[in-house]
Amino acid sequence: MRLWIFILSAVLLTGFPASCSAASVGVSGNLEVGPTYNSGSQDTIVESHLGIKLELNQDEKQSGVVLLQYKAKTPESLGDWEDGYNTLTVNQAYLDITLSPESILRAGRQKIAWGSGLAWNPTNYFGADKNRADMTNEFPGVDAVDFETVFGQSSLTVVVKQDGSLTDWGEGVKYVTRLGRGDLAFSAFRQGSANGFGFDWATSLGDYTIYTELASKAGTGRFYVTDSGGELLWVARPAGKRFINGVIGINRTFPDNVMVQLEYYFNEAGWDAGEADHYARYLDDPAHHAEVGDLMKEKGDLFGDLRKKYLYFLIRKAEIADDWTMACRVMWNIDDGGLMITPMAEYRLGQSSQATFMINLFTGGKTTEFGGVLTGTQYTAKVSLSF
Amino acid sequence: MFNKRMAWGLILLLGLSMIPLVHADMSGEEIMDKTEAIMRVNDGRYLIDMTTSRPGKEDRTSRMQVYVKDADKVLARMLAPVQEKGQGYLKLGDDEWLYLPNANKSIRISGSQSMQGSDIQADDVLKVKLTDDYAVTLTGMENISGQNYYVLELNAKKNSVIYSKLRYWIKQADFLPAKTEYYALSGKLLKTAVYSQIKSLGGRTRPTVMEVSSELRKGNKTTVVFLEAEYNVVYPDSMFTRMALEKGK
Repeated sequence: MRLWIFILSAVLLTGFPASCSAASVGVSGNLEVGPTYNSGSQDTIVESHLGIKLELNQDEKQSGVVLLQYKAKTPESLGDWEDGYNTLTVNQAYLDITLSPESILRAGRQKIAWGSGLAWNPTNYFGADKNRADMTNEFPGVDAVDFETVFGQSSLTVVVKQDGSLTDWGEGVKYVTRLGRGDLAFSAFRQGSANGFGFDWATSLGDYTIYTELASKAGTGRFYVTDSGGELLWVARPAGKRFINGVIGINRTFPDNVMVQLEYYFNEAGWDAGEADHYARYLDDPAHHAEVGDLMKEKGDLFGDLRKKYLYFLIRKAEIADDWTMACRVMWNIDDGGLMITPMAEYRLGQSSQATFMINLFTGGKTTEFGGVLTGTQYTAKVSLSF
Repeated sequence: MFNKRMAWGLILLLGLSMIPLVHADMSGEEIMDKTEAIMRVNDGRYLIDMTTSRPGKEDRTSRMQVYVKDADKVLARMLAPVQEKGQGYLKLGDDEWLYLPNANKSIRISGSQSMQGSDIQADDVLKVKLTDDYAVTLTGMENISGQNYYVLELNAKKNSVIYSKLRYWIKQADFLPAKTEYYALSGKLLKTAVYSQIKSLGGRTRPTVMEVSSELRKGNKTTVVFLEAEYNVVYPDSMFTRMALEKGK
């Protein structure tokens, strides 16, 4: 799959298809730079993100994309957690092949985003997990072949995803139809010993949009820390044990550019209080940090929905004063009572640039998910430019 | 002496004097239909620039390509500026979706959602046929600067529309719109649109500029300029699907 990405990237970079009739390569990107001060560790890191997007357009329609992302963080802070300080990743590299007016095949590294939820997507079996502290943070896509066909009011999507080795494949299928004033989707997946199925429904009524997702999964390898006679160990949940997770949400738009969103998430496989306590004790030993960091990178779904029940709230108002947009996001872990509160302000600097100021406030005891965050309150200021 | 010339003149005079009477018999819906026949793209496309102006601030302009089929299916694609390029809107009947390229997903939205932070709501661009959603009544005539205008009142027939009432001023001579007032359920005036720059666009003579001023925030306005239009072009149904919206087709 990596060879495929290289070939596709080379093709787009050299503009080879431009020699074909009505084909062109478009280039765009975004640059984001800014410091974050962590009050807990009393240090400042500066993060830079540079994204370059190459679009292959054929007959004025997009038929391929390569998205390169360069990330850098400096100076080193909590180094054993972090994803690396200078990384260049190919976030996306795919080609679209129009098989017919009703059918498209997309092959390559791509972002798969099933589900209507904003903060959580239980039915997004293959998609990269979100960074819930900063939902604008891009994660790499997945290597897959995605076939979609539409018929009447419905569509069928089949995904075949590769995961590392040539022998490790996963398959997923999703059927979507319009039902009354709503969109109803049924989906299922299988990958190795993991499997699951679910549904997703969304509708808009007046100024309200309402959605829900529910998935039943097994064998997805969720980890937790257990106390085995005084020794703390990471263990995986039984492969055959099925669990349910789901989300229900509502958002409403108000006059004068105000939007409010509320989302409730539950996860049967989340950690209970005992497991959370074991995890907190596990982290007390810095020698375990590297191991947990590696698990985060490998397993992806380790954080962000550690516990069983969450409530997410967002209020946003654009043009609160001229070029200012204000928002506040609250993530409440209902089980342990901890909160992550993120007030944000965006200021439009120009047609293609803006400044963002954000604070991540964490409340709760040491053994709570948010109260136990080692960075403490984070203060971030960043400038972003699109080109 | 009464001659042929005098006779023709008399006939012409009688004919001209009948015109206001003939139009006075027209219902509000008939007048609205004539206006929409000029303004509406039932099957075709148009290209617009949307410039949002705020007092003392630099204007910002978005460019959008809009495709319409059967006056009921609408696909709008943002072409500029660069951070909005690729975003799209899809309307099928009363249902609307917004596509966010960064998330690679389309989400359901309500028609009251602001478009690109402007004074224009999604329904203002995506709703093509007002008479489907509003009951139209001719409330009277006004003479403004020597021109006669029909004054129409449009009252919502459905809960799904974002304005409970609209008032339309339509020029009697050519059925071109001159002004629209948009009202909330409370009766509060939300915004006013004024039409100007009458030109030939795609073979039809019509206003090519619509200036929408916020009544909630004086000084805020959004100007929509129609750059191109093509009428009677039938696009395939497959173009008005979420797949097409999400995969840029």
